[in-house]
Amino acid sequence: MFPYRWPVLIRVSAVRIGDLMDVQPFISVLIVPGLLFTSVMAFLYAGMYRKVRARMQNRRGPPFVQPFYDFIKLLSKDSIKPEKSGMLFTWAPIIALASVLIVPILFPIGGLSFAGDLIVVIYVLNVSAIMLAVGGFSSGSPFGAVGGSREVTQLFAYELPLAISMVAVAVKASSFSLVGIAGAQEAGGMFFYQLPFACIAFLSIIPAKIGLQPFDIPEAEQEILGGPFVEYSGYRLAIFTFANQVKYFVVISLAVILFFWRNWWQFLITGFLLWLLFIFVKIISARVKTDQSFVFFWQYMGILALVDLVRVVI
Amino acid sequence: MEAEEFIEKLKELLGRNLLEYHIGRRNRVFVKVKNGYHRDVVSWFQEMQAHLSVISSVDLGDELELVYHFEIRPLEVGLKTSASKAKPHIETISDIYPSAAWYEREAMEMMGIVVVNHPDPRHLFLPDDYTEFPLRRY
Amino acid sequence: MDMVVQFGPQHLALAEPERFKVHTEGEKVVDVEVAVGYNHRGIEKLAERKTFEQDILLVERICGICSMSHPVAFTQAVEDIAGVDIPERANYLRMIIAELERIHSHLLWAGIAAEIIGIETLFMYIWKDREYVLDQLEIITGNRNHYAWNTIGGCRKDITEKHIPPLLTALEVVERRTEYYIDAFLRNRTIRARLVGTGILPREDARKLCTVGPTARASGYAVDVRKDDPHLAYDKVDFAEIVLGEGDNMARAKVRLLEILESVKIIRQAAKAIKGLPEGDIAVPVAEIPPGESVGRYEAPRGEVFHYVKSNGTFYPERVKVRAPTYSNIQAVPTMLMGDTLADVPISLASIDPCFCCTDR
Repeated sequence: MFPYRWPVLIRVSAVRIGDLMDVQPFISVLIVPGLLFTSVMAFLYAGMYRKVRARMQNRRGPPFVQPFYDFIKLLSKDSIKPEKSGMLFTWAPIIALASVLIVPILFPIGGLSFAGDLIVVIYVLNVSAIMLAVGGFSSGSPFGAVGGSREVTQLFAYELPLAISMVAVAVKASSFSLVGIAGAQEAGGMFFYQLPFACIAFLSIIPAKIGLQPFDIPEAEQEILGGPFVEYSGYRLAIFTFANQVKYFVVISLAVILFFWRNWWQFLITGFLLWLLFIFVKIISARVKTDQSFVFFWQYMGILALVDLVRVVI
Repeated sequence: MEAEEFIEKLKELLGRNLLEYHIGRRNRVFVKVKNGYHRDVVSWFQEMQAHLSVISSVDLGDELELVYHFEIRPLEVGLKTSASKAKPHIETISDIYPSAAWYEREAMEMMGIVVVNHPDPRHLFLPDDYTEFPLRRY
Repeated sequence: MDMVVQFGPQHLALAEPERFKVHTEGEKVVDVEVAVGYNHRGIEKLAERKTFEQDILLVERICGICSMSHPVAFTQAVEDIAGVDIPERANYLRMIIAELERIHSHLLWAGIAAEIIGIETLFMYIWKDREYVLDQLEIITGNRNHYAWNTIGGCRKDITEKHIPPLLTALEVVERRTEYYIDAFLRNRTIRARLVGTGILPREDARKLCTVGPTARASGYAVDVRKDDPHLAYDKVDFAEIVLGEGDNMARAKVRLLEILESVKIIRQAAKAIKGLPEGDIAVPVAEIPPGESVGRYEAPRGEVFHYVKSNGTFYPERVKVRAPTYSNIQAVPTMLMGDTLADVPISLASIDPCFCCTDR
């Protein structure tokens, strides 16, 4: 057909489709803040991570789009499946990615939302962490098994302060949905100075959740050869790594929504600043041991979050 | 203690079993004792808190020799004992000095000396199925 | 959960291959089996086939970072057999390069230790400062490792007037940065959490197993060939022997970092001393090696390097026996690892500063 007819055709069909059904969910899921936006932000966060780390270490560092190049390269490589591994070896990274991609759809920047989606967020992030452990256990290597067991132990450790601080925020905002929490902050001011202890507790579990020093115990490269990642290669590793990078963006954004929300562009800026803070903390820290991290999260951070929960409830 | 004093004490301890001795430059002393009597000397060294550096093995032609290198400040003592190539049995000192176990394993695999009563006579550096003795001078 | 985790032969924490089978109950280590021999090249047998001069090049290549240790120990043993005294200037020259090697080897170790416990930033910083030392070694000797500095009877090249000022400037930078790293190791909370109290080697075990070098000195067992058996010009310079008592990974790190400062002191004194000695008087000719035997000992960065050389009057040695410090220290590893968690195994292994190619020869 003649090319100048296409725009007319598309415009007509968009109007028609828009009459028939609601386009907004598709945009939310696929574009903003869904798949496209999240992927771009994930690669941006990962690129920032490598560049800032390099510059602080007297190096030049790779270009900002390097994580994207790495992803494409990994897709072209051979993905070897160890003989002793099971079916979950392939499915763990896929489920991890799928679960962590659900969370941005619920963000209050044009996403879908429903009452109680904060609980969904907590559970879905846990699924992603458990898939890390499952991937480790299903690799058939003792290093993977050690990494998997460390991940489960650490999950058990930081769940407590995480859950308590999130519940404190939800009670303060009188709502268990992200949109509700954002709305409460727009009305009453950011939560980080109203719930400082919960904020500190939540920020302290972020390195554990996304795998950065001082709490990147499951992925310890030098000790257990990468833990759960040790046997992964090719497209499976690409998916797993991408899931991790999306987790960087998702968890930081969650922190911003829960404690630092004002509006959507300030959300982006605060996200970047918070990410810079965590990169900095990673650069100056060594990695602690499992028992030390357990004591830290259960005793110190758990009690801190509890203080704020009690304050808010009373 | 000084070198001469050390040799005197050794003569007292061993009598005729001290076969030969040589005092070199810079406090290096080499003594040779008869096979079977080196354990008494090593026990005496242990009472003096000597430091075992290494155990070397030497092929003397028709005899195989083990040289135990001890540091008894300020001396550097080389205690030698040898056995014939046909029956190269020398008793272990790894119950007195635990670190001697590995040095004796190396001597066993490289030179073919048989260390009697060794707790763990496996190969150390060479592959487990290696049967030759590389450091012998054929 | 009882598991056998095998560290090596290929492992990120080990620079060279050896096999450590670690039996764990949960995360606690209950047994360690050590197997060596992956790097065995038959150097001792080869040394009997080469002449004494060729053997200096051969023993230099037993290891990359211990590349001054083996030639000096070997040439000292041969010079003892030949009964020659090398000129005083040659002793000072050997000592300067030896201490420069000690500085760069300890900085290398500190960087590796930082990387293994997860703080790779410190690793990058330390290795950048190590480059200053390697630059000086390259300017003076012509190479960053494998200096070919020794011959039987002395040294092959000289350190002239124009080498000294850049050397002293580099040493000032290294001294300042080392003080910063000592501070970082001692004060950073996360580094302390990993290093303090792990990999403990009690003094009695260190003495019984005859460990050497910083591994022994950190446990309170004071062995240092520079003080016990003064060779080169160590009896003419003033420096302290660093002996600590705790015997954990942090003590071994402290000993090495403090030794860097002592080495800087030694080089400064040596540089001043050679100003008064005639330039060019760096070697004496040694015509032939009579039959005899002797022992050469040298304090390498890792401990005592021991060479036993026996000569039968020909151009070829009768027997060359090499014992590197890691050969002694690796026997202390099971004692260090027992009772610690799996996370401590890589850093405890690295804390003896292992050089497995020296061990296996």
